[in-house]
Amino acid sequence: MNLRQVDRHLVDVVIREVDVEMRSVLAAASRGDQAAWDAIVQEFSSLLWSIARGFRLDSTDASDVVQMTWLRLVENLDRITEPEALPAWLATTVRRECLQLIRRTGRQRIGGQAADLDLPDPDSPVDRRILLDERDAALWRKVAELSETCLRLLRVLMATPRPRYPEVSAALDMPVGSIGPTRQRCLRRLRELLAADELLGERRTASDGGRP
Amino acid sequence: MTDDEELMTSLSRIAARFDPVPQAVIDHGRAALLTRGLDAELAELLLDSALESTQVRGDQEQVRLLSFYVHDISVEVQVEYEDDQVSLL
Repeated sequence: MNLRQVDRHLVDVVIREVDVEMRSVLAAASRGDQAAWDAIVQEFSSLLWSIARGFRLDSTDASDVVQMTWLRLVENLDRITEPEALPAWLATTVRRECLQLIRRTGRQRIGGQAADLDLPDPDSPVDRRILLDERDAALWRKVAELSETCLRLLRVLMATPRPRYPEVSAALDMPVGSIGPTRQRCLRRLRELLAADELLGERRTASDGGRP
Repeated sequence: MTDDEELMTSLSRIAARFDPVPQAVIDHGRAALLTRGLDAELAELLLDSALESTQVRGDQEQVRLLSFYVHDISVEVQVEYEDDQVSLL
């Protein structure tokens, strides 16, 4: 058993425990228990937000589709009897809400401008501090330049807690078997973009008078 | 940890920093539970033809018109009684 398999096994054990807990949380929420509902919202907000942002929705639109998804879950709480199906159900629902909003408003911006991901404003003191970590900022800008498929996939994979493949599959409408290879290809592409950027940066520095 | 795993971990960290879920989104999500059962409470019976009608003989007994009002939508339900069967239109 290699390291990756061991890892996978541990993950599966944890997942089963989470499912047992999720079953009682779901049951409680469907009885109107606010604390149980809050736990669900806390657990999956990052997943829903990440999917919406992967569609390049701005903050307002992303907020709307996430909220629509929660409202739909409230309507359907009694119908979701399998807790393991909940994350994929949420992912499918928010994906449909995103597509509907894009169809309705034509608001998706094609082409991948860095601004689409709301990069920090360099004039704000807090954001200037953030931008001090230039490698992080550069990486974030490059993510926005990825193709639609790569952005959607990598952005959903960035959710916390890290989503499992069934919900990633539901978020992208992509077979589970394609996720691994696509992820590999997209990360390679991201590295290429980053390398090209660094190369350009070095050339600029050189033309500025060769400062390191 | 593979290189890809390492990069993915960095990306998760960066996303949490540059593009976190706004607190308002979480707060609104929590409040969404309050809409549970709301539609049923708001669906108000506006009109029942059986109560309105003074003609209680003949065909009037066989067809009953109900109007509900939910948010900005009104719903009209026509109930037909035929023998032992009831159909909704």
